[in-house]
Amino acid sequence: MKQAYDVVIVGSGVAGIAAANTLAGHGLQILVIDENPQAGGQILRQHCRVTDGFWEFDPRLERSGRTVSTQKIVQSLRPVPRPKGITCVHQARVLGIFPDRQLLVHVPDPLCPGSSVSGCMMEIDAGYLLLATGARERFLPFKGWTLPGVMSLGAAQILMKSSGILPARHTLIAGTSPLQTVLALEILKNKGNVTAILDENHFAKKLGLLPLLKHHWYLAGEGAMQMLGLMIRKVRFRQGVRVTEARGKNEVTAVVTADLDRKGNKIPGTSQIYSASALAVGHGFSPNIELPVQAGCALDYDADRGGWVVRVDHALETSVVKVYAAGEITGIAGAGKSFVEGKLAALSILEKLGKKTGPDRYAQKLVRMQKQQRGYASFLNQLCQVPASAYEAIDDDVLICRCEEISMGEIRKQIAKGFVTTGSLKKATRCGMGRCQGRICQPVLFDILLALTGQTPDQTGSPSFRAPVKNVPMAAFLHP
Amino acid sequence: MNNADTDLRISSANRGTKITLQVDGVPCTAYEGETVHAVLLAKGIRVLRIAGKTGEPRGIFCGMGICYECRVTINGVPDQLACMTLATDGMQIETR
Ligand SMILES: Cc1cc2nc3c(=O)[nH]c(=O)nc-3n(C[C@H](O)[C@H](O)[C@H](O)COP(=O)(O)OP(=O)(O)OC[C@H]3O[C@@H](n4cnc5c(N)ncnc54)[C@H](O)[C@@H]3O)c2cc1C
Ligand code: FES
Repeated sequence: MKQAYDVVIVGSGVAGIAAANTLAGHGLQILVIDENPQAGGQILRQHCRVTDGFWEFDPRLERSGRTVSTQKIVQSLRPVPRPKGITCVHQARVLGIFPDRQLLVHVPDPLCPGSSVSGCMMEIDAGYLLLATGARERFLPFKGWTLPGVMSLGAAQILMKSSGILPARHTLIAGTSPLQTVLALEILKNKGNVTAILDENHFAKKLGLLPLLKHHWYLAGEGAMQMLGLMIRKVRFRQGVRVTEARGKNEVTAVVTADLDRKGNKIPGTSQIYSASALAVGHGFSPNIELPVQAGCALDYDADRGGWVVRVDHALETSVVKVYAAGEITGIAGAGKSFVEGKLAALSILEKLGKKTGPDRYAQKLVRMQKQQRGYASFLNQLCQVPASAYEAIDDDVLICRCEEISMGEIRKQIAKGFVTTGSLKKATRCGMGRCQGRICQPVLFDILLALTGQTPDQTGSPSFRAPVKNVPMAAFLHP
Repeated sequence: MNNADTDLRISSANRGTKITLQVDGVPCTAYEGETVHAVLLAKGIRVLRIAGKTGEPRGIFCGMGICYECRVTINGVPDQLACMTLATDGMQIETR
């Protein structure tokens, strides 16, 4: 099957929806592709329950020209009849982008002519392409992090938001991510129990980062309100504590922690054991760059933006002509930035197509909002960042690559042998060559390399990915 | 209905129509709109597969189609992601 569209948007999160809204009404044929069963990406998922229509954000949202909170973005979303020219396909995975913006997409069986339970392949020609593939969580591995019942903070959120199911009766929450408090409040709202929040960050670190919230004081306020809510509910909240082990035979039953000094090093003799039926843990976010990398888009490394991010110019065009990027993949900064960049990328494409409408003032306002997000990006990513010493201290028996089951000991051995770049270490260990194609371990491996070798990010090398960037059943390739 | 089934579903959540599916040959009640991984968790099933080399049990981890830990067989097709698939009436799910 082959089809052509004026603009193809990959990802229907905040960025993808904002872009589609802006592009609609100009007589263009637009295709929105997302692998989730419904639109919304990471934060709008429960607000975008499957409908035949589409969604738009209240246009008054950006009127003030000031940064917008996630809450406002979520509240301003409303269902609308599907605008003319917009087609959406869900549960479809973009597997590769080839020269002249030809996409290879795996689509589910209801869209395949004839019947095939494995789905089939579709080729799509994109006049312009907008990548808005979002972010995932990142982790600091510990012994037992592969046990059932140990899950990401997002996984616990998603269970409640998408399916109305608690992660467990009693959940322990840990890591460095601001999602810890968001998750705790969500669990309490749904009448579940939070055993404790074990935040790796000391209060002093958070305080030190506050000046970065210059344009976002309301976020500091939101954070304080969340803390107050947790205190009122008497949730045990500890700071400067790291999970060192999850124990259990078939499932997690206990979690071991250690206290941390101000530098983030474990203090000997401080271990404590918590009983838990679920542990939700996360250490921030990592941009989903696999597809843009495969397409040939250049990357930049910036720890303050979440690591390797897609390089874009002021118009949000990547290094590949007519391929644009917006949202978390150009730098982790949450929903506000995704919203603004989705709109800006769409305006850039409209301008290129000679369909520019509206005053320059509008675009200028968006650019100003985009700039204001930088401080928040630094705050968020520095808050989540784990010190290099934590990677150095990972024990040899901890699995780093969950898919290929490769331990820290094996990685240490190969690094000592001289495999000190992302590419060579991957080949030497097979770390990142499993089913998830390194989506979980690649950012970890990169941080381990930086910590153990003292090299710069550029010396260590950016990741590479080939098509298909997602696993699909072989049978799907056989079905035309 | 086992204990976990009544426990983990949030009482105030909006639920779709009641459906019945088979988990490892055993009939199981679920609701439209729930993902397969949520249905399994609500049923108390947390071990979804056994890792090849170490023989360790594995279950859901990312919940969003990234980690590939939640692979199960759905309607005879192996290696489907439980977290990215909506449960449907009559669906046959096999774990391990
Ligand atoms: C687990 C998690 C929880 C979060 N919770 C919060 C929160 O509570 N509050 C907050 O402010 N921010 C939260 N964030 C941050 C969040 O990333 C941003 O707020 C915002 O949702 C990002 O929007 P986006 O459009 O850039 O990306 P996303 O919302 O991530 O959307 C990207 C979309 O692209 C799709 N996609 C990716 N690759 C492909 C492919 N190859 N083929 C097809 N589709 C593809 C994905 O399925 C996804 O739907 C969370 C992030 C994560 C990862
Ligand atoms: S739980 Fe990670 S892919 Fe399903």
